[in-house]
Amino acid sequence: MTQPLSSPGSLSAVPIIERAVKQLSKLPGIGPRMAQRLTLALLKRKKEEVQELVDALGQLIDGVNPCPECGNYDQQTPCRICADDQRDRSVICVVEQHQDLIAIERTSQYHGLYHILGGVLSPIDGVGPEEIGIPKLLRRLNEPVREVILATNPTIEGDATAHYIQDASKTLGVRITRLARGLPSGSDIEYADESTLALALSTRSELK
Amino acid sequence: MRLASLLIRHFRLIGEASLELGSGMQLFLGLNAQGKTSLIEAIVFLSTSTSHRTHKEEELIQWGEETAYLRGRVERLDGEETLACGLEKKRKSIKADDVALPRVGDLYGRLRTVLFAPEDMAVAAGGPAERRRYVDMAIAQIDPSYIGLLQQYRRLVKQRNQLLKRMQLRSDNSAQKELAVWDAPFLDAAAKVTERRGRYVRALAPLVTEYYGRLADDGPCVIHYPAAEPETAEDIRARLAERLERSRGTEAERGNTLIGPHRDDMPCTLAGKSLAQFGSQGQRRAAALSLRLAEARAARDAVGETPLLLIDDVVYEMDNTRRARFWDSVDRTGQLIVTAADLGHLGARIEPAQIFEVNHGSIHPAAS
Repeated sequence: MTQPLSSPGSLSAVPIIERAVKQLSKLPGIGPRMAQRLTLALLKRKKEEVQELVDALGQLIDGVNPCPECGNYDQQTPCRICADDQRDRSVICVVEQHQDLIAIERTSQYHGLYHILGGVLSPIDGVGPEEIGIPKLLRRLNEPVREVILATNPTIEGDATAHYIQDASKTLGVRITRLARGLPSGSDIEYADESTLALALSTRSELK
Repeated sequence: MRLASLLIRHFRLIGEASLELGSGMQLFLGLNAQGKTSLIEAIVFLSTSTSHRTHKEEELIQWGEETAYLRGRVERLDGEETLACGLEKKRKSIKADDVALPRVGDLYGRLRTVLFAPEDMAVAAGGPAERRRYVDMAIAQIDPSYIGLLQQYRRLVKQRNQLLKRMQLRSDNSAQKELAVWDAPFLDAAAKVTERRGRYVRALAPLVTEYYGRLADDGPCVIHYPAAEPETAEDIRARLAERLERSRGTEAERGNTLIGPHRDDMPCTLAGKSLAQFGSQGQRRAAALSLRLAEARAARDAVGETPLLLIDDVVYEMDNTRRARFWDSVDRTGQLIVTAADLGHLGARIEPAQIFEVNHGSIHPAAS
């Protein structure tokens, strides 16, 4: 049962509270009810603690910027990955979101640079190549780059985006690779969905 | 395959009904607007989580109620399972043995049904969309992975159409380049859907002809799928690619994808003539029944188990000869759910295994 959120006399009819609820509910994964809960939780806290949160958020706006090179968020520009001399500057891994970069970094297997698109091609959402900064990526490829790893999600849109980048960079003489797809480690073949299993079969590899 | 028990709550005309169903013919007798078709629709919904009568699922909830609920115990060759569907105004949940099924497609194949309904006339002799739906639903029940393929294809068509619409306003080199990346996956998915449908229609076609021949003497009745005439997915893809190239101009003009399985037809002909254009009422009805009889046999051939047959009020419009021929053609080795207004409508020699009475939205075994 859903209850009306701002029925007269309810807490959220207080304008200041209502404002906070409205702002919080704009965040991903937070519905109006959760926003109300968070707001009430903040009201119950000690003033200093809430001030700490306000300060942290304030610093976020002023202190963190997307890297002009790759789009990664950092306090420094260029970001510490782009600025790191130890990293292989001839390999660029293209990802959809910042979260994907974090996931790949967690593997400690990759030592090249990144490029964050911030989305995928999707005409039904009005997203074309310009909106996800593909021209900017192509400009980066004019520098000596040996390989581009396309790590967009294995979805219809992620695949289309990968193909677009592949087509657009054909003339640049860069090696283009795509992340392999198949069975997750430690999983059961029995429970794999048909399309994943079919793909894993068709891209099977020789045991070395 | 058997639906051993069925619980219905607040679904269409039925307030509450709890039924134990046996093998063989389960006959539901009742006057019009008492809930016979509601019962059939409930079983269809438990089988496919869609209704054959409406796209608006809130219409399925009994008037004045908030939720509808269906639960059925299914006995298959590979074991027993309890399926449950809960339906709210904006939400539905589907469970198998109390485990929620995340995707609609996960329900398919658990309770395979073949529905004979008065609306079937449109399948044999209506527009192409009716036949596409008929073939797609039939394949989905014997091959649930087809649903994922179909959804993927529809999404690609949607993406492509949106891009084509944008290109109507502004078509430059970069837009062409962008279209190119959707063409390849579109053609791949289109070829796969066409190939799967083609394989199904090829298995179905001789059965349709055979069953029509059993029901009437003015055949042959033939269904065919021209788009799948090249048999392999590669050949189909090559032909689709050619047709796509030829349609580029019109496509850009109209801002729509004009070729592919979402536009195809599987026309039915009778003695070489289009059934949709030239078929009489009786011929269309016989063709519709032949399609369903063939669907049931094709399902049995594919999965080795007779599907549940739902026969909703289709026999009473037939004359005695046709009716007798129909019952002779129906596979009565499995379970049949049959509705009629009157026992006499079924015709002679038909002995139901169990009779229920449907009255004002409640269903009870008939007093013997």
